[in-house]
Amino acid sequence: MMEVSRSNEAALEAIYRRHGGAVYGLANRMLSENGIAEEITQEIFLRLWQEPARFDPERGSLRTFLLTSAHSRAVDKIRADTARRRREDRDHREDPGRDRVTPLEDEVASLIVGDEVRAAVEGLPADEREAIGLAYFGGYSYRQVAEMLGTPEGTVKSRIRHGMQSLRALLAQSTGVEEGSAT
Amino acid sequence: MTSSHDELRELVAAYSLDALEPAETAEVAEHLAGCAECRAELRELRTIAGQLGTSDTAPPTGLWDRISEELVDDPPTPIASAKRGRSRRWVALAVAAAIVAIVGLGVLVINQQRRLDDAHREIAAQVEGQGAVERAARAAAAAPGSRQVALVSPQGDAVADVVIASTDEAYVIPRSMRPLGSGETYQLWGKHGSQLISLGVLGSRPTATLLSLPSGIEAIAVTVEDAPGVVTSHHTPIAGGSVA
Repeated sequence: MMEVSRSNEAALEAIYRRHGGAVYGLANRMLSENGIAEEITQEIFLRLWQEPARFDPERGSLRTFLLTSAHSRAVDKIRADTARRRREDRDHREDPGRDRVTPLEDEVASLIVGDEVRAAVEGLPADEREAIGLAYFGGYSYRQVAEMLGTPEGTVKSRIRHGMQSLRALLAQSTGVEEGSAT
Repeated sequence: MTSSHDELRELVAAYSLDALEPAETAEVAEHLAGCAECRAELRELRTIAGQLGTSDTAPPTGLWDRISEELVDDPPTPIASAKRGRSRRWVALAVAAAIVAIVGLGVLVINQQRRLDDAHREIAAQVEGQGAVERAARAAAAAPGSRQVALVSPQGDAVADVVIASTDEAYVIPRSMRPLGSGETYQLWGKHGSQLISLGVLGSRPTATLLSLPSGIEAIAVTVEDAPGVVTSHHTPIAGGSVA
């Protein structure tokens, strides 16, 4: 049985070598605090080790699964942190994004590494790019984005939806195999 | 609060970016469980979100070692049934890792799902007892319609046999594969046009193994690689055989 467990560890290491950088890189871009991205990366891989059944190939590639998990954890950290700071400092209650750097719509693309994906994002209308960037990299809910921008919630929701659908249409033909674009 | 399919579908994009409030997240998650259409949309949107987040950042030095240490602290449970469950689940990941490696090579990925199914069967057989694969291989070799490919070394020694029972069922039966050091593994490759596709890693002491042979494989070769296996081999095969 040790043979099985050793080969499992080799499989986990192969997965880490392939995707660990992307998982860490995403968490690191979302959270400026040192050490948290590392903590999230460690957590994601340990959870994969302990509960491999959470990954369902029917729902998407392993890379997507790992990045989705890392993103959710980073958002949890950001929101917990925001809530803590709000409690500590009443001045923050009106402004959920006050002490975080707000990625301006022009900076969203600079957070994106892949040329093709960056080009697709740059091709979006500025307001859609901004809404998606604040939600994805900033970790804000669409309601918080609406509050920050002084835009109706329904409008932000539509911008996210429309922008994501445009990206899907733009990138669909180039992503027959999901991980291919990430190499 | 009950929302209609259309209302919830409006929220799937924001859900894919983790941009909903907790109550909405729960509502959309519940809807997704029963709506294949929205699940399909979410799958595509998450792929796009993953592409936004992807990068070629190098993780900090030593991070894998810290993860690896935690694994040692959490050895597989000694309860047989639990071990079995874990092993089967792990196969999906091991195979996913292999598929990722193949994609990294830029080669064709063929019949991923079939490979996954086969690997599930393989590990099940491994857990039940290695003899089961051996018996299945022998039975397949004797069955009418099966084909056998001898993998022969440059010196003319038959190193292993590959029994092709059907398009999705093939076996490697080692004949004279010396045990390797713990840092090495045998790796099986399929030649597809000008490309070499990894068919699997056999370990340092190979036993009969079930594998799936992608269609269009013209030849099979075996190399000795550093464990746990490689994406691109730089070694001359120790043996090979033509499938055609």
